[in-house]
Amino acid sequence: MLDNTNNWKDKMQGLKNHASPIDLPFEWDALERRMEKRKRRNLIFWLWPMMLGLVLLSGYLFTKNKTTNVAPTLLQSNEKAVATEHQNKIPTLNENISQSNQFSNVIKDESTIKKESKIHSSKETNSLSSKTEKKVVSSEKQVFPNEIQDLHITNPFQLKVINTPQTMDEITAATPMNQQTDDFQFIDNHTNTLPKASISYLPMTSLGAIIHNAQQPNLSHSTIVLQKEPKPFFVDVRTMIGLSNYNYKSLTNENIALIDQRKTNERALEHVGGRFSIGKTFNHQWYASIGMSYARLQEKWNSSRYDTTDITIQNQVLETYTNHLGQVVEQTGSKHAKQISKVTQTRYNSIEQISATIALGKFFKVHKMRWAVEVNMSIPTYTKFSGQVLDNEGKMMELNKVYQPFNSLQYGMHTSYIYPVSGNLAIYGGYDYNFSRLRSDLGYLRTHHLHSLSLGMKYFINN
Amino acid sequence: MNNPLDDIINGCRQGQRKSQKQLFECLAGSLLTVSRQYTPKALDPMDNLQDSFIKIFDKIHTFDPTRGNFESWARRIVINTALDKLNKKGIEEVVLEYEHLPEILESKIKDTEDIEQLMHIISQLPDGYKQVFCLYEIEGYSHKEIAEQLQIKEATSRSQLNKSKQLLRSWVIKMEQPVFLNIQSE
Repeated sequence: MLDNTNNWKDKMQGLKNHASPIDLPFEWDALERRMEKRKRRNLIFWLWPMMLGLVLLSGYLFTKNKTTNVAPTLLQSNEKAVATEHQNKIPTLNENISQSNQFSNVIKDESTIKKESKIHSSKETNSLSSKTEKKVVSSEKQVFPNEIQDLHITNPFQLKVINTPQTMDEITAATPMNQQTDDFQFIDNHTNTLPKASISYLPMTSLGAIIHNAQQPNLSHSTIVLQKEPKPFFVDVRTMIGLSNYNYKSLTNENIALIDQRKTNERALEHVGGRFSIGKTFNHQWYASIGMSYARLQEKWNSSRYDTTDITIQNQVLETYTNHLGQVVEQTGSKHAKQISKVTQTRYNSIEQISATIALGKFFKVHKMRWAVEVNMSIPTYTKFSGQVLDNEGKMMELNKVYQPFNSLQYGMHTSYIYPVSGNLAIYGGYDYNFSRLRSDLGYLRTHHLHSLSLGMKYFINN
Repeated sequence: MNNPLDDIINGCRQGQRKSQKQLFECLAGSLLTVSRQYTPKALDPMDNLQDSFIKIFDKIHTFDPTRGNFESWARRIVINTALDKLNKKGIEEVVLEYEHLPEILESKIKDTEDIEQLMHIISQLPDGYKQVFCLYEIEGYSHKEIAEQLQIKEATSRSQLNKSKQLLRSWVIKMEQPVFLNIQSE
């Protein structure tokens, strides 16, 4: 049998020890490039989640730290108003101040405020205040200051707001922030990460509540603390991942064939990106930001070539002739020929870009859900092309010799759903569309349509 | 005196690019042969070799010299990388008609002196047949081990080995005919 012969075993052993011919320098270069690319790619994929995690963690730590030091925060607020129906009756603080140790960034739900404001008219306040029963109203996290303004309009005590910063200083200085009396109760059982308010109806002599960034209009004996311009600045970190789409436009008629070749061979793959920006809100609804963006586009390039190999074909008809009997005779033998085989090569190219970005956006609310829309523009400051493509003569050329790096202005829009994590921190997820174009030295434009899912966070900084 | 390969391996463990290059130069030829034997036909053996070297450099700290020599370990990685791709791709089903081949054809394979030519013939085998053939004939695996490795039954392994041998024989017959030219690389 085939596998019982020593010769066969020797052949198999020979196969085991055989070293195939290989172009070592070329293949090592290719391997080294792949290793470098992999290293960079790993870094990119880990960098953004790490950054996001770091920012969330620092936001959490900052918020946590802040909640235990509410008094200094209140003292630092420049424009605060304290409204009270009985401003001359601010009671002894040690006895009466009731508040949460985590109330700093919480606001009461608007509808609740309206409703309760209606119920408790000024005539009822005395009877209400004389009761000692506890009542807890719902609260909700607040990030966006425009909602405070809305509350001011509906607040019947708006007219009674007076500026008494000295009193606030006294109050905050004397208030034990971690004190928990019978007059307050936690509403939300989530975690310590979310600041919460607890509002209580208190006796006549008590100071109802001190709510940073919020108000409690239905309490006749309460103290209302407002900030007129809270958190106007924010830091925005965004990560994006998505798919791209390319279109080509010829600048001259001679390039139509080249563009067809590009369309056939070039395919956009995934892209990843990130943005770090600093912004400011205006009018509590609009915002503008400036920052740096990074984007990496991956693309796949297929090219084919035909390799020819010299071969010898046996038993081929070399000549035919007719003999004297009228029979056709064929002369056979070996024939030299060329074997043509199609070889397809695949390359993965990439474009990396760092750009300066400016954006203009608006916060709005739909069915109590917070959203944002934004338009932005990026100006490339650094572009790196990696990879090779075919030129119009079918020869390989480096990608950085094909495209011009500094003319690819990028325009984009972004829309997202925003979820407030705490008084300062909001995370968001949404959709980004970006458009840019690359001008080629070969006489055509390539337009990029980038569709991305984005995930990010906005951290609002107190004024 | 230290084996020069040990120094290279130690350098690779420390992530030195120079040592990695030396290791590549030492083993690339023989491992390319392995890659050609096991990589599915639709894929490029060179790509598989590169994937394997990336794994080798990543996992080199797990290599234990007491359990075998480095080349066998690296060879094993190349085989596993190729077989992973085969499992993802799925084994190609080829229906072969039984052919009674004269014994004289066996001698044609035996007389094939050029190892490269033999490699080329083996590499033309359908995926699955090729892997079973190489694991059994070259690596010396048992059918049980092959079945475990490829997640197939032992009987399938035996059957595929026989069919691969039959196919090889039939090809050797046709080696002198132009039909052989139809086997082109894509």
